[in-house]
Amino acid sequence: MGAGLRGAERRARGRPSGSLVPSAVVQLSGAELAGLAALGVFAGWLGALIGIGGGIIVVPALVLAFGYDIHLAVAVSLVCVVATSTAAGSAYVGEGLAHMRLGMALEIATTVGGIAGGLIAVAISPRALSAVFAGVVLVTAGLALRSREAEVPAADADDRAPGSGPGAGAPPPSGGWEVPGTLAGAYVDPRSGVLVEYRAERLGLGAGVSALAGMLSGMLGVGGGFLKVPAMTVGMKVPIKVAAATSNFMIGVTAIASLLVYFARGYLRPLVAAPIALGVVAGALLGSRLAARTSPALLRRVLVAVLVFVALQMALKAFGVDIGR
Amino acid sequence: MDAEAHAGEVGPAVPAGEPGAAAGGPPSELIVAEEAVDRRVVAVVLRTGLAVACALMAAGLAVILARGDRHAHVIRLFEIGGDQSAGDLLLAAGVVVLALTPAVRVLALVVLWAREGDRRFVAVALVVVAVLVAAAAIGHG
Repeated sequence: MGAGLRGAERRARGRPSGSLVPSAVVQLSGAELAGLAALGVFAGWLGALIGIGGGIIVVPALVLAFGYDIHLAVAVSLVCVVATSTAAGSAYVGEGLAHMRLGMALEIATTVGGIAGGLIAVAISPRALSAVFAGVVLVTAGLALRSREAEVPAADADDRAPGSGPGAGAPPPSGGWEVPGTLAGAYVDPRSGVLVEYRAERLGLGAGVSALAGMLSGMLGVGGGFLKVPAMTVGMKVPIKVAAATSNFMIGVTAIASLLVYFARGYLRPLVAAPIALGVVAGALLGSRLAARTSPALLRRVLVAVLVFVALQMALKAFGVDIGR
Repeated sequence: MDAEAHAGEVGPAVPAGEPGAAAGGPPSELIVAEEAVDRRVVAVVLRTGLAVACALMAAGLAVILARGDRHAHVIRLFEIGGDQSAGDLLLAAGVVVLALTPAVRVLALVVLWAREGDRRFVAVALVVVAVLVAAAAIGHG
């Protein structure tokens, strides 16, 4: 698709008027629109199956396969990140797993980081941004390789309420809950029926990491969960299920902080963003229905191979080597 | 009912917000009821916003495909409603609704937590709203 573009148009894609390269008139073919929608479906499907944000797929695909400027790719990806987070967040909130007060407290840091990331991204060159993206993709690949199925960590067992669990006293309400005015909460593990209580600690540490995650999200169009979830589980002693749900709950607000910067400054082409966003939502629905019939372990290995390839391509692009064309 | 009173109902004599306070076992019926309302409202806000945004974007794509003009124009947030075509306007409106949805979720929690007397987190949520307004202003500037 992008391979068929002329060089001048390719270089100018996504550049807002008034920036280094004048705004180009980009005409999308029917095949290109279908390709964008298919990209969204794929990113949403994969994200739903193995729990990664679509941005890590959408941004390199737009840059490497479609030939778009990385700034436009990031802005488009942020639209998809908001859509994914909104869909997943509503489900997690309904189940009671996301701790809304903890999420709100950390959102102060992520939104400030998101604004900073957006401003840094529009100020630096596409090559520098590609280099940062390549590094983050490599880190994500490493984390995906090491990650296992989400489960209640052993440490959570120590947090269980005395006498809680199946058949102990009055049955707790289903799902989870928060203690008003605090960062404490509890949930009933759906598999074991055990009541898991927790209290988030070291808010300063969580806020610091969240600010960094927000900045990377704003710069690169990714969700940043790969930083926030470990910060909440390891640093703040929050159970992994709550951390994952809370991270997803937060991502939408984080993403709009930087999306507003890109959107206001003219880095967004809604005709490029819309088919991908619609595809992401459809793909996420499809992925959640097919989850029981696929092997996350196999998908994860495939994803790692793809991410390593993407990281190398983005790194080469950062150094001016464009082997894809 | 304020937050401290709630915490007293569920926790063993540990003030809300103090280190060492725990979830304290199953919560009171009042907290369960308020929690359920909060979560239901937030989930409805998110689902409705996403549905409206998707409908607008789908309508915009349909109009653009029907008219055959598939130019992907740059549209700036503060220039929406200028000289854009109907299809571009629908697409831009879809993106705006999508972007506003998480912000409306924050505002909904401001109202819900204010009603429950959780002043601390009302303040936290208002700071988030202020940062988002600043983001739009910084982007515009």
